Amino acid sequence: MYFLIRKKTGRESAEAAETEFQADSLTLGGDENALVQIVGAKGSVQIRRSSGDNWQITSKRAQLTVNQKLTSKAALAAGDNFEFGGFRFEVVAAPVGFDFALEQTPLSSSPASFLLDGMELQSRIWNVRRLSWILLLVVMALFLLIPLGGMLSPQLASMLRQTPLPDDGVWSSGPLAAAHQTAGISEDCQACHVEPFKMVIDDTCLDCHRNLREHVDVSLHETEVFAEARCGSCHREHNEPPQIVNRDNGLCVDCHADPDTWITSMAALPGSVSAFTQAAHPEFRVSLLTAQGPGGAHGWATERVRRGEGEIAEASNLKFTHTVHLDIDKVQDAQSGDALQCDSCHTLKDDGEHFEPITMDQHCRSCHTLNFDVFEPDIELPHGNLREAIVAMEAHFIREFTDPVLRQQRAATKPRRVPGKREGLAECQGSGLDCGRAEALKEAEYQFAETGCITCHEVMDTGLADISDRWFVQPVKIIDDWYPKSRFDHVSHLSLAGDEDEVCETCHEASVSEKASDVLIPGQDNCLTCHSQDKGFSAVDCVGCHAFHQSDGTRSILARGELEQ
Amino acid sequence: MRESLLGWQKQRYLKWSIFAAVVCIALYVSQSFQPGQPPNGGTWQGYVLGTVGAGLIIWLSLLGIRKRKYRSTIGTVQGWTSAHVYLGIALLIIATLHCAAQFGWNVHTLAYVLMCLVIASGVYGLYVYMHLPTRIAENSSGRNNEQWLAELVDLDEEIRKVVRRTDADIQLMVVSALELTRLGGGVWQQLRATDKSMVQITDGGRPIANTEQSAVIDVLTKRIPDARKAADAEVLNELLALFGRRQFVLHLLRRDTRLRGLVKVWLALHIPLTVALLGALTVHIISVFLYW
Repeated sequence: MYFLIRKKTGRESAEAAETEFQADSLTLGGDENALVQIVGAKGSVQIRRSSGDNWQITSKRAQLTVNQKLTSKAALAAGDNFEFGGFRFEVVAAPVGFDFALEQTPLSSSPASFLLDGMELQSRIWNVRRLSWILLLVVMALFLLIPLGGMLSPQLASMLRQTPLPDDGVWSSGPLAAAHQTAGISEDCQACHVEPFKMVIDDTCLDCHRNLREHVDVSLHETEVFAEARCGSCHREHNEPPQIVNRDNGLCVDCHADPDTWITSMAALPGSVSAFTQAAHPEFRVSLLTAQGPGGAHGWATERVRRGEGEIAEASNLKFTHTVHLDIDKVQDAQSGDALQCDSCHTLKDDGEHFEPITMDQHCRSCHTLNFDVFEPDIELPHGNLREAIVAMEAHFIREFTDPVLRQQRAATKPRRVPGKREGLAECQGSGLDCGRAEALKEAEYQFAETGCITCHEVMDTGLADISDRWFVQPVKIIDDWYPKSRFDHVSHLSLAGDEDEVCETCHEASVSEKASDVLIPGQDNCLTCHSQDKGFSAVDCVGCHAFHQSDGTRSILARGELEQ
Repeated sequence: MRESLLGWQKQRYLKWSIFAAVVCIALYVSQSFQPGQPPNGGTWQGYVLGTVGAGLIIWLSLLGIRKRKYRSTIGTVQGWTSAHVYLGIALLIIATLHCAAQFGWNVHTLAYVLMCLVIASGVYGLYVYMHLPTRIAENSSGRNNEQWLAELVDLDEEIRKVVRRTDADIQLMVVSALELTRLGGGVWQQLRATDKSMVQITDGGRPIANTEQSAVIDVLTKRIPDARKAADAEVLNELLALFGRRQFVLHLLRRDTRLRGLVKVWLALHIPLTVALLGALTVHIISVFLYW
């Protein structure tokens, strides 16, 4: 189909410029696809033949006026006109060879032929006031109203968390400590922030931390001193980097610098401390055990003795020398034949501070066997129970001398002489019972008075006639925490240079310890060489060694209730 | 302008701002002597810095009100603007110290980001106020916009007259180049001075881009050697000269639109962003104490 567009070339000219188009339909508009370009026009219009000489015009997102009537679709015939994109188009009779013809004239009487499409920013830009209001409303809605709705209604809050819409988490001022990044706390602000505009209260902490204890026994101290401090005054959340423990020395030394001013019913006041230096920190107090009653019959009392004030000696009732056990000429590992290492006997507990207890079965028995009859070297005495040991000896020897077959075997056998063992009686003329008892007594005398039990244990000879009452082995008791008021990490200290035993010996002088009563736990000097606060390197703060919450403090759940009243 | 705004009263407010920044830095540093908590908005120093920052934001926003109150005697608008510039830049330091450069996906960081955008747009506005008026004056060479537009209209009329002496092809192209010339446009077109003008070179063909009138000039240049008669070549030469001038005037007008637009556009961001910042600041303060 052939289309013709005729336009005036000059204002005064009767001449016209004619443009021909060949297409199925004629599109006029501002976008690139339009056949006839009308610069600046919004949308486009399309003209196509409906039937015979009938034509139809349709508008696509354009403002179209056909015969002075605003419309989006209309029929066109010769003599009709339409206005679009700042021009008036008149349908004129199509010349020969054309199907459709339009005459185009500009609507405005502007002398300018170019399109002046707004040269003032103001007319094109968003109204500043409107944009301001919209931004303000968006901020308020997204960051105040919607989260506030979630805060007031838990249902809405859980719904918000399913959507990309913000919940009260947008109010969080920083990350939580790792321990609090857990279900039920991390996504629910109100797990801790119970009351609006009020600081987090202790009850919410103690809801979970039920077994927490206070710094002191509040029955001994003035509670007012502690009443002011909320959990949150020391344990601040939402820090970046997360830091839940307040390591400020001031928290400790504000009170501990001057214990004399305390209002307390404590029996003995702790030493004054203002820093960890030789001058400002008192010497450590070692915990020592003392038996209450003979053989600790009434338990063991722990006494904390300050180093440098009186003798420090352990009374564990064990006979043991580290020197001998660490000397390869005297003691070797049963399997490898190498010298013993510290960790041959001392196994660190999971807490990294304390050690597993040393037991006869695990650590001593491989060398210190408890066999007692050279004729039957495989049979050993039970350990840890005096009565059982004596009964075992009596039963063994009575059986040996009563059973005729065994008695004959014993008389016929000549065992090899074993150093450190008594040469057992091979033959006896009396009854089985008498011979057995006599042999048991002899062996018991040997075990309890010469070598055997007495090698490691303190044994008391009562002088009584009855074999069962004759001896008493003092129980062995070793303290499991020398410094119960402080913490120490063996693991980090074991990473120091040197092989493991050398590192141990840096603090614990075991290889020169001759007596079991030697306390090999180092004192303050040893720690101060690296950690003194006035030296500045590897300095530790109070919390580095001491916990605020003490195991002998009142349970917080009780104390805090008491404090708040 | 430069001297009077930045150098007002021997840079009185520059000195104020430096003093305020130094005091705030000292406050911030004092936080590191408290091992209890890392520096942030929650220490007492953080609260002080936050209060100062919030107070500054509110005062800085009041410039919009003060400059409309012609009868006000609380300082001069010039003094206020000088203080606005210097204290606004100091605010960037104060607010950063307040938050200790801790950021996250939360309303607090939103307020900070909005504040940075406001300050950045303000600094841009200051640059524009200091440099563009000279460039606008240089560009328009002592004539105003209407005078340049009038010249353009005259040029077009002259072109229409001259073009009548050429053949139909050239007539069609030249008239389409006039009619399809576009000045101004949307925000981006104004600010980037893009030229969306077009021209229809051949009868019935689709119009092509005529950026800076280069397409029509190109065709005219190529046609001159083909002219059979000296008169034809003369007309083409005349048209070429007219389009050359037209190119210059159009370029100048677009550049003028662009420069005038740049002088205004920053404020269209500065103010709505300030309002959004005031909203975010309010939410920041409420939320911090709501979940204390």
